[in-house]
Amino acid sequence: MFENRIDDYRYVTSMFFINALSRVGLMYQLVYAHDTVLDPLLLSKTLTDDSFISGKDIYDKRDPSEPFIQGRFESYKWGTAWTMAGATQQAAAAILCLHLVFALVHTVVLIYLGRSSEAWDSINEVMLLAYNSIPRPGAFQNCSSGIVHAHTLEKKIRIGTRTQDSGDVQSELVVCGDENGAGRIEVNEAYS
Amino acid sequence: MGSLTAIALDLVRYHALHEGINFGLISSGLSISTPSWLWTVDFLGGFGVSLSPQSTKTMIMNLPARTKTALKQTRKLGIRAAYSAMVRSKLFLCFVLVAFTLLGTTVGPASALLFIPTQHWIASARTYFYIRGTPDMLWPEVLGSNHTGVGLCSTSPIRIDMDSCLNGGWKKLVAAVERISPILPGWSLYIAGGSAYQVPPARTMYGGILALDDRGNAAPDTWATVAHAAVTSHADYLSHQATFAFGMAKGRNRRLRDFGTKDLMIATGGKFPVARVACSILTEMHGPDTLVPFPILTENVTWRLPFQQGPGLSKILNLTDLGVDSWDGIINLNATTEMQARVKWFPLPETLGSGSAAMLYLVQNHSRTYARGCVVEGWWATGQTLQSSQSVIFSWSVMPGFKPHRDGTEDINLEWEGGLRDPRFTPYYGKPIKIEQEWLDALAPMIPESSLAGNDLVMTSFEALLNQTYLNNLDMVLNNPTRSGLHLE
Repeated sequence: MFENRIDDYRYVTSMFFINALSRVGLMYQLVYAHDTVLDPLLLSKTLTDDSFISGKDIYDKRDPSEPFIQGRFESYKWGTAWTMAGATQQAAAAILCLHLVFALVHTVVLIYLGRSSEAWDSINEVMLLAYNSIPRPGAFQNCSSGIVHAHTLEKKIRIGTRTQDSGDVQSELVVCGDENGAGRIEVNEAYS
Repeated sequence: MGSLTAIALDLVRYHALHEGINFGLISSGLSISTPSWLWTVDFLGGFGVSLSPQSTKTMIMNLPARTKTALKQTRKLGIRAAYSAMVRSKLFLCFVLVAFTLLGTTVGPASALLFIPTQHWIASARTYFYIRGTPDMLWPEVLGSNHTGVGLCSTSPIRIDMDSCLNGGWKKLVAAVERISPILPGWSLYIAGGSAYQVPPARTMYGGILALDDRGNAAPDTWATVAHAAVTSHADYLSHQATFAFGMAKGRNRRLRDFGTKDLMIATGGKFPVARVACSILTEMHGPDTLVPFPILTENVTWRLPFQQGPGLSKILNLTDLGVDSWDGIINLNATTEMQARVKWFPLPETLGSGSAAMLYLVQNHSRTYARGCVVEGWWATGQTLQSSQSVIFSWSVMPGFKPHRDGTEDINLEWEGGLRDPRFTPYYGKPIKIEQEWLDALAPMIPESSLAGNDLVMTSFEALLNQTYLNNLDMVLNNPTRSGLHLE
């Protein structure tokens, strides 16, 4: 209870006044003789399916000239789900989509060109390629225990071909500019 | 990751089989899974960049010019030749290796992130709806004789049970103030509605109380708000329709029906009332020409400043000038209304500040009469009418403004914790409502059945609310000198 009852008068006055204000215009929504019934003319269309849940309007649009105020009703449910609502989720999805796009474009290019290869796609295979190549001593000096100079890394190399004495054609690593007659690898050719 | 490596290897192989590739980049296809590879000697040396900052800067500075040149050259070629040139260009190789390294580093965490579910509100039923009436019929700027409800509201005996009358719900208010004492500084009151599909539905009033003794963190205004009955009638009907529609749910909607445990309904487009009441100090009455102080309200400013001692700004008015000198409450001072409160409502005099109506309030004991001048100020606020799981027994509440209250947090704050003067709310209050005498007469009509036994006092609905509740024990206020009601102000 209040220490000071005068407060109560203000409280009751605010309650009484706000109650009256909140009922102004209620009569226009009701059937006159039935104070607790919404006028059937104001009801929505009869629901025959669940499209209301999917966000379909359930009222016929009112003519703007008619005395109606348009309102918007929205309902929500709270729960746990996977969504794209947050910025982090959207960023993550964008990264995955980018990945997907690169992979798809690559696939389309491969199909379009009609060729693919898995040659030299491991360290072992590259090592073997280098081992089977004729050394170019002038190109890579002082590198037996590590690469020190940037210009070593800048050397341009390519994969070429060399015909062995036996007549077999073998692929090898060649340094551009010191190719010693190395040929070009051709598609759909076998190399020893 | 495997597909990115395959693409990078393919590109490196392509370079190695054609014009050649810098030695540093020969193993780049296998290195893109390690981001630190981007600042190794192998990578930078492979593109002819040394690790010195100057060299890196030069390379970055030259990048736009080189890109421009490359594009220019590309434009001169046909599509096929341009494609070939692009694939062979070092710039393209650099772009692919950098992009793939960055992508390879982030793609794992990104997919892990998408596996984490989040909690949030998901939209279900929604529609436009239509409230019958013009703004002047539903939330008029000037309340007059047109806004007092149906004709039945003014017939005798007064229809205090009819919800569409201004005094609708009166019995619920009486029941509330008989039993409940509000909790300072904020209070809420559940106003029950009819059964399902009956209107108006249950609503919860919210308010705050100005405390005179400066104890606690009381609000600097006494105020109240509640949802508009016309808006809630439609909104509640639609919530029932949503339940009905869920009964026919198929496919995704069936999952939505069974999703989560909490619901939130929001209706926007209507207005709702917000009001405050200020009363000045008690003055002893001597006759119809007594000078009584009335509070002066300023629009958008609290009557009393927070932590201020005593009442806010007031102005002393002569009751004769206010035209209330012919009221029987004054004429019959000390007659037969002992211990009863009497109240006279009248439009706000121009000499007072902001507000909607004024009120003269009298209390009498066996020897004296005291008067108190009050001002009420009401606004039509725009905002949301809500029902959530935080609502008391499916009642409707209001919140000014249109900010979505489903911002990822489960709890919807309906309590107006910031009070009447919450800066987020005040921009939505609108101008003070003006009120004419005819509406005030309908606001507090005489209720003959509330006349006091043994005398001829017929109370208005408002006086009956004050006097037939626990508030009628005026002895607490007037006859007990230790009680602060009389003296504090």
